[in-house]
Amino acid sequence: MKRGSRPAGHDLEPLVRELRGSLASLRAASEALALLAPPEENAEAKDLRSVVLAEGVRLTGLVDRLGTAVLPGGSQARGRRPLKDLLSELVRAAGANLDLTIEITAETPAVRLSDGSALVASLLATLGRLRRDFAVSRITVRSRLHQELVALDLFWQASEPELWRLREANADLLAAGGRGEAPLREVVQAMGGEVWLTVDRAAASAGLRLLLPPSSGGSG
Amino acid sequence: MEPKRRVLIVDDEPNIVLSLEFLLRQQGYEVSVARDGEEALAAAEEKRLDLVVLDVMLPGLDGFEVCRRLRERPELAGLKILLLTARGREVERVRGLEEGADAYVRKPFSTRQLMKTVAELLGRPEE
Repeated sequence: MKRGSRPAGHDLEPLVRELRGSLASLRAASEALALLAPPEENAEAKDLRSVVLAEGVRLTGLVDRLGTAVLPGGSQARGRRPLKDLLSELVRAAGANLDLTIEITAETPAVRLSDGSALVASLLATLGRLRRDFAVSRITVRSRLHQELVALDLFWQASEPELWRLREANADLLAAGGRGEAPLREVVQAMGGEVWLTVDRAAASAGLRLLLPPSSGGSG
Repeated sequence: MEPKRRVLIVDDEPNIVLSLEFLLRQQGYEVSVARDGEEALAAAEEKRLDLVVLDVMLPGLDGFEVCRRLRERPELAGLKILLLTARGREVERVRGLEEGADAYVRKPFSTRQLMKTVAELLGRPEE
């Protein structure tokens, strides 16, 4: 996915988020008001309050349906590719272009991911930064199914000062794009996933953890 | 008499804070408020908190990062963290729990249900 070419639902996600936030405030206020109602409240006022409460519940259901309809996450068929192929491409490209060794440790789940090519491109851009700015030269990849999501861990050994530097660079590392590639976080979230940096000081290691929904009908 | 449990609300949306503050006080909790992640981390340092009600979408440090940093502090091992989110995706729930949250509630929510979750996290019956 290059900048500017997002799945259709992606543009509506902020709108759904705003609706959720606003409705949460409305429901919480109306439910709090119910506690403040005087015991001798007349029947009309009680009925009107009931309408507000009931409509809040109804709107919640509607927003949930809207959210399901527009949020990305497995429903798009575009660019579906087997995870195994994507990892092979990542290993090959990282070795050829970044002088970075990637070792895959576990059996890869037989699933497909949407927008896999965009994911590889933005992962390579991020790995390039790790190679250049943090001297990371060897990365281990572990993929597994986790609560119906694909969990992809890319981790490497790092000294204590490097771990602190990484922790401070966390937001920038995931939010910055490469030459023409969209930022990793943007790509992953557009696929309906999440990505974050993990730091394990006890094990002197750091990593990128990606949670991705398999593309619908996406085994293989 | 049992001391009041201390709850910190972390949310930059004043309208939800107003209601949650009221409802939690009604339930007998001592409530304080932080508007962003930095304020939340400072409050956790200063106050002996029992629970943080933490919105995910915050200016600056997001709720996940705040959660992780709170969990890095051994002295806060007993602190409960309840994440609130206006995004509603399964991946975020999984991430929230992996970052160390004890519970995850999607906006909009039933305040009765939220108060029940708070009471359960604090190990006390709902009042």
